Amino acid sequence: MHAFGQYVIGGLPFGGIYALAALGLVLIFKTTGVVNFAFGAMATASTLILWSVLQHGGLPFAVAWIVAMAAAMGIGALCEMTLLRRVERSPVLIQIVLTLGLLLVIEGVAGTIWGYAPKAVPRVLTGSPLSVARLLITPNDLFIVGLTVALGLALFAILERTRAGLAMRAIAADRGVAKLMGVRTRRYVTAAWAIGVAISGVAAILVAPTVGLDPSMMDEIGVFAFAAAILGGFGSLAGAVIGGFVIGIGSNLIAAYISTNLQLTLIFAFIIALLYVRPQGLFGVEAVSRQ
Amino acid sequence: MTARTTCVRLAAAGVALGLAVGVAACGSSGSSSGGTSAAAKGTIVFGQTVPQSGPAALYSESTDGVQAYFASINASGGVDGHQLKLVAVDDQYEPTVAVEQTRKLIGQGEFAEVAPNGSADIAAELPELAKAGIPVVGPQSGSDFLFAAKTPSNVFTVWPEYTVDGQALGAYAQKLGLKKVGVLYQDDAFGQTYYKGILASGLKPAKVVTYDPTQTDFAPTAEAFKSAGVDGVIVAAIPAPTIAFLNAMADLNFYPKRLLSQVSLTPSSYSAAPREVPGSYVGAFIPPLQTPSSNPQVTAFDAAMSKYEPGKPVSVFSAWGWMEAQVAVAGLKNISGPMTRPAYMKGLESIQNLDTLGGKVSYGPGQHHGLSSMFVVKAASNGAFVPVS
Repeated sequence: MHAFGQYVIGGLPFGGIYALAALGLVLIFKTTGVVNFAFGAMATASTLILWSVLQHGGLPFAVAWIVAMAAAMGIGALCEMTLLRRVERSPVLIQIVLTLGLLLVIEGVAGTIWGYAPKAVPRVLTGSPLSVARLLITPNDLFIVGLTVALGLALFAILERTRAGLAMRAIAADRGVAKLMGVRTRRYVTAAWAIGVAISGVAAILVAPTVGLDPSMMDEIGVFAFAAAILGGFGSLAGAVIGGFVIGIGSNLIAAYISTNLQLTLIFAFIIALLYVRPQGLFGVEAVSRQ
Repeated sequence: MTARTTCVRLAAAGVALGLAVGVAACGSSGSSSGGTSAAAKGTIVFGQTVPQSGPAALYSESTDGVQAYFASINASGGVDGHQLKLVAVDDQYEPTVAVEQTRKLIGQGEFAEVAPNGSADIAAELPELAKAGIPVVGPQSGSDFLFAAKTPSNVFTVWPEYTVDGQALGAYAQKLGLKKVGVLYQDDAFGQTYYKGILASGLKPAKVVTYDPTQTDFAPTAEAFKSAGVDGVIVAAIPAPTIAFLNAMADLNFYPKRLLSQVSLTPSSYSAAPREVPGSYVGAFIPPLQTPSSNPQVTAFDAAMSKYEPGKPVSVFSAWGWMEAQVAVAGLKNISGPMTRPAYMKGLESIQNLDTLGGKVSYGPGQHHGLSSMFVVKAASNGAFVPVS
């Protein structure tokens, strides 16, 4: 029973990371309708910039974090303004292929600049694991879980309670009408990309100390993040967070009691089964198309 | 949109595309100036398939070692007046890509292959290379398919078999008096061969877990070993999963004796897993590379890397490449007469007690296996590795 509890607790940190990555993905999709397959590569690139600032600039971690967030927002905004905007009226498939191409280009450029040796990134919080009812969790893992929930709530509040959030929801509902109503659609779309990539960047910075930072660090994590977004209902922020934790804990239990090789297989089998029963995911809204 | 605007946008797109292609080309074939013919006069071209991207891209540092050795030979006139050239291509640690890249190298007329990397990749490439009669020197794998009776006769291994590494660590675990030992190994040819070696040492593992090379979350794996109450863990894993696993154990305050394969650590592993790497035991056939060194091979390697590959890491991976290049060139030097592939293989077979960075290498007709022993080092807290066996 103790081992089961530890597996559940052990799934929370990665669950939080999947949730954060999924939040960034969902925010961009929710606002622009584009699935950003390159989010992991963009997040990793900003973390590599953080590493460079720490290694070569010798600046404090907090400053490096701010620089990395600025870099992530810059990468997201630049990609949206220079590339995605060109294809905003193109078929969805074109947009998907573009973001897939971006993934490969960014990973390749990052590998050329920084190489592929895993690099050390410090944890936000150090310290021995804390024991609660003989279950261990490190201060850093608690921070990840707490930050995930806080960011999820903050994003929800922004989208539901602010004029900017209202504008983003209006754009998501109907960009043309939003524009006619005076909403500066391009500004908010760029902001959504910037913030979305920054949130995914937070996930990358938090996972790098555990797995080692290299250009392909987010490849597998990105797959789990997609799974979390789909499970939660692509378009639901709450769903992304809950989906992330469900995936994190679930994959841990699968690895522990069945096989590590079947983690993704069984997770996606579960998602397929869920979507069969509930096509909109756990928290998604059923789409209605009028023709 | 005016015609001028269209022209400007097309030009901008062309520049961007050109930059992207240029950067990708620099990244994917950093050691190659393009696919020149292996039959170019005065130049002997060796090919190498190595992961330059993806989870195992770190192993591409071996290219630097080969390049450094070739450069040192070329600087003193080459081999019998022939200059040496290496064409290294990215196989992404994927067997299907490795086969495709191998076909391209063969089509470009490579004379031989040196230091191809990755057990599964090499296994996929060998039939193509055997069919083309291309000698393969120093495949970077110790998997059992390279040591079997049916191994193609064009293959000359330098590394010891992984079973030797596994056996060395299994034996050392018993020497340490460990009562319950866990084993974590990569679920492919590399890991499976390693595990056979561990079992051959007589060790009976208390807990065995396999993993996929792309796995990043090792929390359940660490908990499984902890729950099993093991007091030692043998890890046959590549660097990134090793770091993730060691950190996962530390997060559970779990510090069993750690015995790592010779492919598990990199220089940055110390800082990436600072709680678990110091004090770990590591299988090795490359001697500690810290300088100054009393080992003349290490000194020569370090000097050549500084001179010919400045700024490139002097790591165990570049040391692999250096050692394999030493064997490759020794075979060339043994050729008397035209430089043909059959003559080269005879030249390799006549290598006897060649001093290399990893020890003495000898071959013979029907005996194409190089090193056959390994030793164990301990990772000290100051980043040095100290031989303990």
